[in-house]
Amino acid sequence: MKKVRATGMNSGVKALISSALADSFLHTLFDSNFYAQQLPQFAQPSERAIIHFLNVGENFGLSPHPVFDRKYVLEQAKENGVDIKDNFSPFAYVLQNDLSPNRLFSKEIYSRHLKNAGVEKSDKETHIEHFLTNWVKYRVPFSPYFDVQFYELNNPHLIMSGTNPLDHYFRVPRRERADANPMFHAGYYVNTYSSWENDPLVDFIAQGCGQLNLPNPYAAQELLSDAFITPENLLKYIEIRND
Amino acid sequence: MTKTCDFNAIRDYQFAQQFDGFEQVLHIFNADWHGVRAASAYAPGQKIAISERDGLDGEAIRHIFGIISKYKINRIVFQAYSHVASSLCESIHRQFSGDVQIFVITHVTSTQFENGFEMEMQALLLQQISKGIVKRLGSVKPRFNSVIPAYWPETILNFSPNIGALALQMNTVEGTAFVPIENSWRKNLYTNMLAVHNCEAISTVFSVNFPTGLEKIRTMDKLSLTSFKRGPDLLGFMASTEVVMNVTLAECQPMTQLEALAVGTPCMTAPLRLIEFEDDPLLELTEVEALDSPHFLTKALDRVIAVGRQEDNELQEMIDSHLEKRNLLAALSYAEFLSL
Repeated sequence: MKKVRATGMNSGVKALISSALADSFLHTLFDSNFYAQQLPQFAQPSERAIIHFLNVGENFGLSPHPVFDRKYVLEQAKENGVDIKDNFSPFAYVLQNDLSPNRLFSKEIYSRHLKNAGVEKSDKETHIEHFLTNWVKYRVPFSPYFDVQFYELNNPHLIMSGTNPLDHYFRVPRRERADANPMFHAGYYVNTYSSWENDPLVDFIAQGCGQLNLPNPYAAQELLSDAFITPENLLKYIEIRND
Repeated sequence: MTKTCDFNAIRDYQFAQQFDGFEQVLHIFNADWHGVRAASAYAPGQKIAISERDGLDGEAIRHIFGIISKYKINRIVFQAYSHVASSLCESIHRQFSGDVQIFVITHVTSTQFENGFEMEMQALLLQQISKGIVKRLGSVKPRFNSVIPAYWPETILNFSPNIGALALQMNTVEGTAFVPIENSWRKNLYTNMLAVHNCEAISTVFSVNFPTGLEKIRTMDKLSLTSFKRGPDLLGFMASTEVVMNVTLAECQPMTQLEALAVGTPCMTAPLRLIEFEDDPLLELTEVEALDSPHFLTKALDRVIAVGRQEDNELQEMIDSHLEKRNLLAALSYAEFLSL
């Protein structure tokens, strides 16, 4: 089991709040506009948004950033044996332990490709922060499931505008998202197994493949030609080639 | 659910020849056109079978785009053409633009222009060439640029099936012939059937089609009808017979011949006019000039069977040597056509 720090409001978060005020890096994974959109008009923060989030919003399950998947972070914390108490801060937990806040972002893949590209990342920032700030500059792979080229094929303006595709993906309303994986047909998946309550691709990776749900209507015939349909083979089937 | 596209189906890759450099080449072909599908199946590269009958729905087109992306396809070869292929071709061009080059290989002879569909497809291709949608047109019929000058002047050579690991422990049964051709004017079933019946060395003739009416004018005591076959069944059956007949009145590069040769069985054909094989001893032995004469066909058949029954293995060496050269030249012709 990995050694990770459990972060409660009383310990790390206070430090985070003060560092947030002193240092802008924390803002990378905190989007004040995105946060504000989750709050009703009457509850808009009167203090700095990030402080409101840490003091109030996070306790209500609000998200600091479109790519921050609170549910996934809590799952990771549980897997890592963290005793999740009332004052547990998923946000601080991710930042202090340099974890991925989203199933579609792999710290390992991103880190490996950064190294291959000869890019040195400062230890002061986490991989997700580095990714959100610098990806457009280096354009290295960051996920086994999110295919940037395929996504940009359906959103060609992203290249011209220099937009981070993962960030863009999660800012678009779920029903309107273009597919981010060549072999995963979101529309088919939702119509057959799921709903738009969760992101379909994330849902498939998180639990749909475990139920042997298929990522597209052709997957069974294509998989069965040389393999059995298992959760592992389904995930392998949608894996993209990052070489 | 109707299967409207079939990616790398077993039958389309299990006998494919392997050559480096074709990993990002995708062949798209009609699932129901057996000869064209076989030619595509034995070529190196990725494969998608589509259906002219069922068409392609949005989900299928989305899937084909996904395959092109996932496998980083940069060259697509449409093997033969249809309305569905044409629509798909235009969709791919719109979606991928210059990242994917589109080529078309046709498997038609000018003889088949009596079927209006064939000329309609050629006209469509010429339009798409002029619009820059299709990069190059090629043909497996030698010198097809004399029919349509826009065609690549060289000939695309078909590959034989790569039976590789498939251990065909089938013993050849002496005196057997296989006539796997349909009963149409172009395919010349009657002449083939008469020729094998007249051949004394042949005692049993297997056919997938009955030469209707022939029994009224002569005895057909050698004939044994058999079922339509494909894949390993077809190859195994061909391996068990002494000779395969495919002497047709108009031909490009018959897959029947290549399938038979791959399992060591000679195949009689019409002259294929492949300049790359002008002095090839196997083709000199198995090609027949007088296509409409059972007499001359039987004489050619006698020669082939005589060589095949020699103890010096000469026929097998001819076949091996022909296939080695044929597949190598096929890879080179594809590589040159596709600018690989």
